Amino acid sequence: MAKKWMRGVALFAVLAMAATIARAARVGEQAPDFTATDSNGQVHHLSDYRGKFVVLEWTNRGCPYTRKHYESGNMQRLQQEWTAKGVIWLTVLSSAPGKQGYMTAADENAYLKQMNAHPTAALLDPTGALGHLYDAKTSPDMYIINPQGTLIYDGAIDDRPTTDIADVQGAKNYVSEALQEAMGGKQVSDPVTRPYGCSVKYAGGE
Amino acid sequence: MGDSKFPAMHSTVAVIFTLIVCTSYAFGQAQATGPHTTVTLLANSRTVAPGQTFLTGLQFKMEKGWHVYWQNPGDSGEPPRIQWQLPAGFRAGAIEWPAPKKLVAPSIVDYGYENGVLLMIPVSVSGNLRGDATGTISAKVDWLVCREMCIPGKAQLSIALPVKTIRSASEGGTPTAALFREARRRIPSKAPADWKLFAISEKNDFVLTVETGTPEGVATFFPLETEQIDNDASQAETPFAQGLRLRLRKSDGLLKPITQLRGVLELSAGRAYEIAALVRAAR
Repeated sequence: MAKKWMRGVALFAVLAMAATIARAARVGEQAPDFTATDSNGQVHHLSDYRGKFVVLEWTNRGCPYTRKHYESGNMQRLQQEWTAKGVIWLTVLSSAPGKQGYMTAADENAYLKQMNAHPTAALLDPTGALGHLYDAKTSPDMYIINPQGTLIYDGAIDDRPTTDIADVQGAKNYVSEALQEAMGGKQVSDPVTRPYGCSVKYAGGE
Repeated sequence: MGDSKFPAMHSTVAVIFTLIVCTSYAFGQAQATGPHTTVTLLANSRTVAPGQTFLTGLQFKMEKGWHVYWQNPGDSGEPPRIQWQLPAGFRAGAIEWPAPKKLVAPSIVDYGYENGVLLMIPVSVSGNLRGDATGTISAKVDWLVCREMCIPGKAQLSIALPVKTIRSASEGGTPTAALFREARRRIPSKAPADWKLFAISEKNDFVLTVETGTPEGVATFFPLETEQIDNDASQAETPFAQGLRLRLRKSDGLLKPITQLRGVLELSAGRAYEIAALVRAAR
């Protein structure tokens, strides 16, 4: 009995170490698997989506950079366009309770409806576990995973790091570019860009 | 945020905002109040002379806890931007950025200024300019101010400076002059020519060696370029008799080898230097 307990502790220690040693997701490498619950209570694993392209979009509805893309309708257009082409689009909320952008499941569902947003699902990550796993720094911070499970894009949504709605038009959208190229069997020409926006409002700190 | 819940309030706010903007356009104010920020356009000279270069200053004063950003904002944020509208014969140079501070949040490190900052910008006046006119210097300023959250600010500022062929007395003892002097002290100096600076590129780190000729205890490196070093990683210092070595974790976004590390190095007692260290591969 005691031995079994000891083995359990040892296993836990190894797992805990693996979690701390694991580097953040890197482009060209296997994207780390995760388990997360969406605003409808449904559980998602990244591994459920093998064979499909997956987009991860970090969001914070109060952040002026995120608002630029939602109030202009740009994010909704992207979600609609790419989910129609079979892409799994997961919006991630890593704001901790009490911080800007934190949403309960009901609030998030009301917001998605109000904004006419069309992600496949909105993942609630109030502990920041998923955010830290991908080392998401800003909202909007974007990641693309290919059907083989490899991370193929990490960075900004486009090349205009501003809060100005007028900048949406004419911007080079890195996410669309990467999806188009990857779906066409081409190399992604800008696989890593500098994400811009507000800091992700993780637990801890101020 | 109520977003669409209070349309009436929104339009009231919009009207008030429009009035403020129009007022400041009409009268060419030197100061504007934005969210959690007051921004003022200053000059270190009361009049300007043809052929002279003088300094303008954009002064940001923030409420407690709020910050604006350095030229490399770090992991999030964006530096203030200025679009100048200048009279013929006037030319604005680049912003002189004071050494920033690390702004630390969970998993995120930004570079910027808390409480307040004066960004100085040199403006040159053509020698062909005729005297006895008034040069109105206008600037459209965009900035982002953040605490737990970020709010964009915008202002249109202007100041009028008489152009005189005879140079007037300097601003020597005025409060404005003191502000410019104080700001100058925060501008990084050029690294002395006799310093030895280089960086070794290891697998996961750059090891920056700074030989100043004396032992150095503490240092912080602020990278000028984004995506070279991991802003959030600690910078381990190894002092030695002639200076110090600083271990800088490479950014995950760094995909190609780089030839130099450029940035600001802050040593003890706030001594800040502009540095460029050639990078070579580890043997």
